Amino acid sequence: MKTRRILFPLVMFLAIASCAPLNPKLNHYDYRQGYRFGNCATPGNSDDLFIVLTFSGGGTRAAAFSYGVLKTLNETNVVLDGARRKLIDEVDVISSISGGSFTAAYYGLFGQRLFADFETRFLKHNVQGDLIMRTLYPWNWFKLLSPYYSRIDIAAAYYDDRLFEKRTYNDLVRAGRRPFIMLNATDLSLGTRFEFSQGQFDLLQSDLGGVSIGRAVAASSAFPGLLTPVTLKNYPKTDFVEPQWVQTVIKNDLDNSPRRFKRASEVGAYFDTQREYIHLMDGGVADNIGLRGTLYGLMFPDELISGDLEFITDSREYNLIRMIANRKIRKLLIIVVDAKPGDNLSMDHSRKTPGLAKVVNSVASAPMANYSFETVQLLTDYMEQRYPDPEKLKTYVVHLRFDSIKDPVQRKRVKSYGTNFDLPPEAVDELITVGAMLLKQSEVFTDEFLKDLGTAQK
Amino acid sequence: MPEYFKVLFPEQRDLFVDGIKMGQTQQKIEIGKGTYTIKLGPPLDYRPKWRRPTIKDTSFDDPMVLTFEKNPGGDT
Repeated sequence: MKTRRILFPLVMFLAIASCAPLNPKLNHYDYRQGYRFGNCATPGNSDDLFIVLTFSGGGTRAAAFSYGVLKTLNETNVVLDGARRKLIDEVDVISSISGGSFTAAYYGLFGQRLFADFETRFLKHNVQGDLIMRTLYPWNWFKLLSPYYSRIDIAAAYYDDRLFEKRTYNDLVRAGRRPFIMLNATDLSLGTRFEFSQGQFDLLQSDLGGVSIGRAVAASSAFPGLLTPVTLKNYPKTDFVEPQWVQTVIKNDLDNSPRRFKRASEVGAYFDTQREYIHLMDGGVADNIGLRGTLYGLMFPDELISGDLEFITDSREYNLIRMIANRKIRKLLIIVVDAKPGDNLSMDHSRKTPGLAKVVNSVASAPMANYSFETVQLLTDYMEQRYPDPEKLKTYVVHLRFDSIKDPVQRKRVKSYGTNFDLPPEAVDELITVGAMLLKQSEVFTDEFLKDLGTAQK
Repeated sequence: MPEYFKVLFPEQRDLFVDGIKMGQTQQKIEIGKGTYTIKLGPPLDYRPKWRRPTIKDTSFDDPMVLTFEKNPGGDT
């Protein structure tokens, strides 16, 4: 009886504490405030040379591969406007998914510290084991009794504690430096990309500043089945009005521009008053390569700015086609870091019917891989179709993937590394080396981009 | 496939596409296929007040051309 008297209030307290909204309400909308691309600036980094990196999903494999690329950019020096600079300081945007989001977020928060301790704190640490252990903590059992608390909350708290030191987006706003980090998840109902930027959170009338980095990374990496979705509150709109273009496009562009119509419908869906909550899953479900946001912004000037505003000359949203029209960019480099796994043919070695786990894994992974392939093709095709005017804008697309590893033995080995969060240290080391090797052997990067800068040197 | 348009006006003015600055008058501008609301920057001494073309079937060499005229009696 006495135990019950103690336990009941404890369970109620933990359950109620688990119900608190995870994303604060935005009290006053201002298109110039919050974590937006235009509020990130690094001295000496002009938009004249614009570098975008996209990091795909794929657990520690993707995190290590993208880390290897960042390390190489950190070691590559260039001379720009007469000043010697590290190429990494010229990176303007990193858009990431799932495993790649750990590297992106860590670099965004801690900068050069990434190269001092990320390997030991994350890449070579058994994160998966820790997550399982945390789920077994007795106080988490009580919390898990609440319908508003689940495994993803345990993961988010763990990432906040162990990796991101409880930092929030307000810390990124205060740092105010490039690159702009765009962590991507998937809106489960719409099946579309959901990015952690203030522009996206304006649609929820919510302040991204109060959201922890660990939670954003957890949403980006909540692989279906293994982790549960992250839930956000979609607040009633008080001073954010549907962007001007949304209704124009819905009325006119179903046949004229189906891609734009789809985007307008998705944005419009956040104004549905019955959608009080938004559930987010692994960004890989919508775009496992982290390229879709950049690609859309390269095609269409649709920004998430309140529709009651006019004559905006100082938008802070990330949109390449407007930047190009406003003649801000002269050279555009996009590096796609794609940790796509190899085709798993092992089930074909036997006549035995594949088990449910294998089938579910294949069904979940195959569409992601196919869609990633098509996304890169779309980017390449679009770049080819643009009117080539190198006087105004020179573009470079670098696609780094394991298929480019020349040594067949190494290629096969690297492609076989799992997409979990517990890889052997020697696998991590090899993935870092491969990231560096593939970037250096890229003809577009070395023979075109660095040569065009005219000052490549190690 | 990228589309192209150009706005003609006797003076150089900022262009506003769906409320946000995007290039200037007399400049050839790349954009995705679709319908846009296009205005010139202040002063508002021009007509029409806005245009809403569906930009499609254009090319760099054959962009859609939109013309605004000076309207000295309009708002300034």
